[in-house]
Amino acid sequence: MRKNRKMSKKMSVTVGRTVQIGAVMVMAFAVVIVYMLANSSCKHLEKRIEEKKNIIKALEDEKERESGYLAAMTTPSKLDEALLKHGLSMHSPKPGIQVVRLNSKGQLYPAQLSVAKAKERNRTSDVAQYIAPRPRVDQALSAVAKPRPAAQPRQAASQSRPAAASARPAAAKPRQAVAQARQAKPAAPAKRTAAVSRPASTRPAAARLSTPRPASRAPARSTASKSARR
Amino acid sequence: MLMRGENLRFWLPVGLLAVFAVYTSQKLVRAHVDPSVDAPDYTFKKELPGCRGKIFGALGTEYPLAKSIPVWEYRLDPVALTNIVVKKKGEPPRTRDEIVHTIAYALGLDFEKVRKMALNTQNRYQYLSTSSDSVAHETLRDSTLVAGVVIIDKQVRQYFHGRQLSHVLGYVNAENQGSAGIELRYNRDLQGVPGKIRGMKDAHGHEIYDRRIEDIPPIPGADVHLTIDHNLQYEAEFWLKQGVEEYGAGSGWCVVMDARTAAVLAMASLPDFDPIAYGKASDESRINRVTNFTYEPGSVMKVISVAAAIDSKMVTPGTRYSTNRYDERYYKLPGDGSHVWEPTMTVKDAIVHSSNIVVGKIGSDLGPKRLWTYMSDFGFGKKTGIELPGEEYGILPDWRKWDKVKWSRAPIGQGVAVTAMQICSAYQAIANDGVRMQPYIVNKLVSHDGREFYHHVPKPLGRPISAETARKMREIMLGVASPAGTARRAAIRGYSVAGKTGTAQKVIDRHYSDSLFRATFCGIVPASEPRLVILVTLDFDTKQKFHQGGNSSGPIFKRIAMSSLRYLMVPPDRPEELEDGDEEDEFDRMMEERAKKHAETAEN
Repeated sequence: MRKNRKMSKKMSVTVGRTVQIGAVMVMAFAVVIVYMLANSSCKHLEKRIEEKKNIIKALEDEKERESGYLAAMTTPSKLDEALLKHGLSMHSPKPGIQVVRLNSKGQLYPAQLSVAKAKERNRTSDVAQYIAPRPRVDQALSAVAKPRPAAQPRQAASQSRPAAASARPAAAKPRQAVAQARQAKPAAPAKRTAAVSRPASTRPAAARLSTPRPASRAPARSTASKSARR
Repeated sequence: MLMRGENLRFWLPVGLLAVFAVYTSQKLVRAHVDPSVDAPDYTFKKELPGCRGKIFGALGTEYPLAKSIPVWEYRLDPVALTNIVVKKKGEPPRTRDEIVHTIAYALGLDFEKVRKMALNTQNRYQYLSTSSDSVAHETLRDSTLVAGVVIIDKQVRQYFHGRQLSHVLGYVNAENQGSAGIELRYNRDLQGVPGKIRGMKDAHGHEIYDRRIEDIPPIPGADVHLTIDHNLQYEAEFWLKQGVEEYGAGSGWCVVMDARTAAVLAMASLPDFDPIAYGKASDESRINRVTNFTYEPGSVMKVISVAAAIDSKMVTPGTRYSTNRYDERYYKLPGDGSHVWEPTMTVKDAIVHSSNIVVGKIGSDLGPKRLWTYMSDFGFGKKTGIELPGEEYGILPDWRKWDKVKWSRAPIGQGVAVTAMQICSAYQAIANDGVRMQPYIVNKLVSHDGREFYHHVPKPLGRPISAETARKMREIMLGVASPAGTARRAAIRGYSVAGKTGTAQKVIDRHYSDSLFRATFCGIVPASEPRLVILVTLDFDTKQKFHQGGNSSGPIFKRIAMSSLRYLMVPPDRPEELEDGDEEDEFDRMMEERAKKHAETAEN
C-alpha cells in the first residue's frame, strides 16, 4: 500500500510537469506560428509595395515617353509638315491686328494685356494706365485702326474691301477653308487665299483667340497665329 | 566489458562524428574569424542614376527642348537562347527560329541578321537595339515567348528640334555627361545626384527587402530655362538656311536679341549637326560661329567708330569730309568702292554709303587711344559673358601697338577680330540708348522640387555712349536700309530699320582675298522704339555674285525680322506704309515659298 501511495505521488508530480512543459511548448509553438504568420504577411506586403513602386515607376516612365512623343510632334517644323499634308499653311497675323493669346488653361499670356485688352477698353478702365506712358504704341495702333470702318459688321467690311475679303475667307470660316483645302490637290501648299486659320477642334494647347468686342466698336479680327500652334 | 566487434561498432561512428564535428567547427571558426574564406557574398550594391534635368525654352515647360527619356537596351545572349526551353502551357516548345522571329519582329530588325547573331554562341550579349516601345518591351520580357534577351534600363537624351539649336543645347556623351553647349556648361546642375541601394539577396539573386542596409534615392537634376523662343528659332534657322543655299555661302550664322535686356531669343549657326549622332559630325559643323569664332567684321564696325566720334563731340552727323583718298593729312587711307561720287560727304552719308575713306579719316582724327577705349567699352576684345562654353575674346590689340595704317583700318573693321555676339552686343547698346546689357541665354534654373535657385536679372555692363549719341546713331543708320543706302533690300514696310552692312574680305594666305567675303548685316527694329537686334552673317567659300552684306545678308535679315515682328506682335512704327497692303503680299509670298520648300522636302 505504501509503495502504491508513493507511486501515485510520483505520478502526480510527473503529470504536473508534463502539463507545464507542454503548455510552454504550445506557447512557444504558438509564438513561432504567429511570428511566422506576421513575417509572411510583412514579406507579402513588402512584395506588394515593391510591385506598386515598380508600377508607379513604369507609369512615370511611360508618361515621360509619351510627353516626349508629344513634344517631338509639336515642334514648328512638324506642325508645318502636318498642315501641309492637308494642303494648309499658316503664319503669324498681320502687323497691328488685335490678337489675344491664351494658354492651355484658358489664361491670358501676361505680356499682351497692355496692347490688346487695354485698347479694347479704350482708356475708360483702369488697365489704360499701363499703356498710357507709351504714346508711340498708341499712335501706331490708332493709325493702323484708322482705315477700318468703326461700326460696320465684319461682312460689310469685307464687302467694302473685296481684295481683303478674298484674301482671308478662312479667318472667318475656318472649317470651310479646311474643306476647300482638302478638296484641293493634296500635299501642295495652299494659296494664301485658301487658309490662314485653323479649325478650333485642331487647335493645340496654347491658342490665340480673338477678343470679344462690343458691337459699337471696330470688329476684332480673329487670326490664328504661328505662335499659337507652337 | 565490450567485445572486439562491439568495440569497433561503438568507436567507429563516434570517431566519424568526431571528425565531422571537428571539420564543421573548423569551418565555422574560419568562416567567422578568417575573412579570407570564400564564402558566397549575398550582399549587393546598386547605383541609381539621377535623371538628367530638362532644358526648356522661353515658352515654358509645355515645350521642352531637350530631356531624358527612359528606354530599354536589348542584348541577345545566344547561349541562353539555346539552353532555355520556351513554351506555353499545353503547347510544344518553341524553336529557335520562332524565338528569333519574335525578337526581330518586336524590334523591327532583319530576321536573318538576328538569326546570325543567335547562331554565334561565342559572342554573348550582342547588342540588338535600343527602343522606347512598350509593346516590344512586354513581348520581349515574356518568358513564354522568348529567351536569351537581356534588357537593360537606360535613359537617352532626346532633342526634340533635331538639328535646330544644336550649337546652343550641345549634346551628352555615352556616359550621360554634357559635352557641348548648355549641356556642358550646366552639366553639374543638370546631371543630378545618383542614388544608392545596398542590401542582401537570396540564393536566387532576388533582393531580401527587409535586409536592405542602405537606400538613398537619386536626386533628379535641375531644369534649365533658356531665353530661346523655339518659334523664333525656327524662323531664324529656316531663313538662314534658305539664304545660305540661295546665295551659295559655305556657312552662315545669325542672332536675334532683345534690344532692351540683351536676352538671346534665337541663335543659329550653319552648318549644324545632329546632337544624337554627334560622333558623325565634322569638327567644322560643331563650331558655334556666333560665340566661338572670330573674324574681321568689316564695315559694321564703322558704326562704332562714328558713334565714338559723335560721342566725343568731334563730329556731328552733318560734318563734311573730303572723299579724297590721297589727302596729305592722313597716312595710307583705305580705298573705296565705286559708290563714292561726291568730293565731300557728311558723316551720315559715310555710314549710309559705307565710305571707307571718310570713316578712315574719322578714325585717324579720333586717335588710336580714344577709338580703342570706345571699342573696348562696346565690349570688343573681351568675352560678353554669355552662358555658353568656349566663348572667344576676339582680337583687339592694345592701342599702343597700333601702327599708323591701323589708325585708319581699325575704324572700318580691319585688323580687329570679333565674334558675332560682340557685334550684336555693341548694336544692342545703340538700340538701348547707350546702355550695354550683358547678353544672356539662361533665364533661370529650377530644381526638381520646383525651387528656383537662379534667376537672371538683366545686368547693365556700362554706357559706352550717351543716350543722345545712340539716338543720333539710330537716325543715321536708318539711311542704310533706305533706297539710297547699301541695304535697301533689308527695309521692311511698316517698320523703321536701323542697321549697317559689312562686306569683309577674307584673309587667304596672309592676304585679303578679292573674291571671298564675309557678308554681314546687323539691324535694329523698329528703330524708333527698338525691340530686336538681329545679326546675319554669310561666309562665302567661293566667289559669288551677291556677296555684299546688303545683297545677301540684308534680305535674310528682312525675312527673319518680318517673321519675328509679326510673331511678337510688335506694332508697326510706320503704319502709313502698310496702307497699300504690299507688306502683306510680300510676307505671304515668303510663306508660300516656304510652303513649297516644305512640300519639296516632304516629297524627297
